[in-house]
Amino acid sequence: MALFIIGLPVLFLEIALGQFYQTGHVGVFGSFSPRMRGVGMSSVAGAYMLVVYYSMLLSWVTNAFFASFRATDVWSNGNTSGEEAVTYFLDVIIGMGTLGEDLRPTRVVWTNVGYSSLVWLCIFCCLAFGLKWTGRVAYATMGIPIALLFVFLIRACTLEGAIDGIRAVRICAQQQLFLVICIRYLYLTNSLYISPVSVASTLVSGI
Amino acid sequence: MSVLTEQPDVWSAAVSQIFFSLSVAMGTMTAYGSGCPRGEPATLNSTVVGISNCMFSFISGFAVFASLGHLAYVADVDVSELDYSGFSLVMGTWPVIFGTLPGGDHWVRLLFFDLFLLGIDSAFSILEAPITVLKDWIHLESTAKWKIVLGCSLSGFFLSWIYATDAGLLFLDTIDYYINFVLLLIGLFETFAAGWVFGLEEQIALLGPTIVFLYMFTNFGSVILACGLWFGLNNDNAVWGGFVGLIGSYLVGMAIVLYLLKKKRDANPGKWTWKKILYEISFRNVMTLKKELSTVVGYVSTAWAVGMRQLIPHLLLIAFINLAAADNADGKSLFGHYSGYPMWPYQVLGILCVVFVAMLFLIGLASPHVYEGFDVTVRGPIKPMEVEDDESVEGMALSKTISLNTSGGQDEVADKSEKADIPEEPVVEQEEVVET
Repeated sequence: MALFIIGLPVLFLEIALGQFYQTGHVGVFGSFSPRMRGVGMSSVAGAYMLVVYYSMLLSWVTNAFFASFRATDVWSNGNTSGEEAVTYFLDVIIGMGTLGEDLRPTRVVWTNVGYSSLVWLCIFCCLAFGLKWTGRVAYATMGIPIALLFVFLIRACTLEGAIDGIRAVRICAQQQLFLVICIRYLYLTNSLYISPVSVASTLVSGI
Repeated sequence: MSVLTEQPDVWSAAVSQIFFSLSVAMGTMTAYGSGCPRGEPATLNSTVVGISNCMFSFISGFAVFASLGHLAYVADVDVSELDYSGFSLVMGTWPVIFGTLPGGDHWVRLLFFDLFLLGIDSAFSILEAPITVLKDWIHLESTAKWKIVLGCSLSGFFLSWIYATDAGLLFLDTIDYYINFVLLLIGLFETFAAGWVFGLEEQIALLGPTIVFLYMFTNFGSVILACGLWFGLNNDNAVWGGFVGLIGSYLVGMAIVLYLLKKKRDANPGKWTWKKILYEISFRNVMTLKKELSTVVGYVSTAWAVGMRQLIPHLLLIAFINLAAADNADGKSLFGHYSGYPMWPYQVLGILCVVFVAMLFLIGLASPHVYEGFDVTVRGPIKPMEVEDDESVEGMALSKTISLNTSGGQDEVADKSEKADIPEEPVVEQEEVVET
């Protein structure tokens, strides 16, 4: 509901304004009134904050990618429990194992700094040289997540116990848990799906 | 329905989640739009983006719950006993389920690689907006783009070190929570600018500042009053009290506005009819915006224009206050006590983020000349965007080439398609062409 009442109109607002004024955020709102330039500035600041933590999320995924080639990773034995996977990710990949009771940071995890430099290098290269292939890569990579999503869906549904999970949605829906879980979870998965969606939109605009 | 009244902040979280997943309120979509050729149907595009996003969420939500069922089966517990939230919901299900496929490790590797590609894609399309703004900055106008990108990347890299500590996930979780506020705030600013600031000067010239600002104050003042009652009162009457406050104060304000309008109308007989003057105060500016936009982006819905003025800014304001007023289980305000993390450094950093963004807006409001250097429009007429500038906003160049081949015709468009038709040309050379 929020999507239709608020999400879509705002999305339309942004696309249409960008298209109309053919300029960035500061220029668009600046042409409404010079006093509104701050709208553009604040959204830019928001975007920057987001990218900074997003890059670390990516570094962890990169770390996990390389870790999956090591013999000691938890995913390859085929009967990992969900809890093991989570613990492995939190303690080994992110390095939260050394975190004390007081929840204060104690050390810098240098592996992740390393992967982060890799991530930023990629971002730099893509943006600085406005690479011609980024468009094409986007088209190519769009297929993989959709395919993976369906593989995931089919596999998840054919495993034993799947029906209990689906049923739990109905039970949970009566409790508050469901909405809360859904939202927290959608927040993160969707962040991984931003791009196929925007690529889909470019496909549409291509037609 | 109990969740809606007991945990009303779920609603606000849903709104900011929608913003996040549609990547609006970050300038990304404006950048995307500015790369779309004029004449593209923006209504259709945004609807498709929204619906496909919804579909993705639904399918993956279904799959994740199915896999939770399986994980509960393996662990021999009830589904509701699994303690998954947020990040672990992704990392605890996807790799595990892929691991059970034949050739599991390869699936897991493919998954991580895929996540990486997707993430990089989104990361640089989000970063594109700040870089565009910096590039437009008058002091950096003659600086090569790669230097600006380098600056942004390096500072981003060093800033991201706080997430590389062993408490990184806590930092991430905190900032992630406070970004909700940031997104709602920016959404509010944007819709307010479009619905209430666009055409404001003209309105003031016609009706005088008193009426216009009183009308604005009536609209938002009554919403704020209602929020105060909704979230301030701690008894059963809060919901009703809020609505009474909302409608009551709105009616009182409107009565004064109408009285002033009547005086205005009587002062210049023949100039205004009631219909005309009411239209002027309530809708004319958004209808002008709608008309202007539709010359470029095709069909624009009237409902959109009306909502932009009369509904959406109000709702976003409610959503923001609602989220800010949310309490945690101990009865403390969630804003400042998120998830029980220590005040320093987590909560302080998060609050600073929100305050910083609000400050940026207020500075612009108070003294517009501060940002003048960032606004290319003051430096002469807007020139058509160069092709390189919007290149990295995901596949746009390609789609542009396709659509231009079918729809070319206007001078400006034809000019662009010539450039877009030479995709193999080394980019560095094109950069130089733009600079000179």
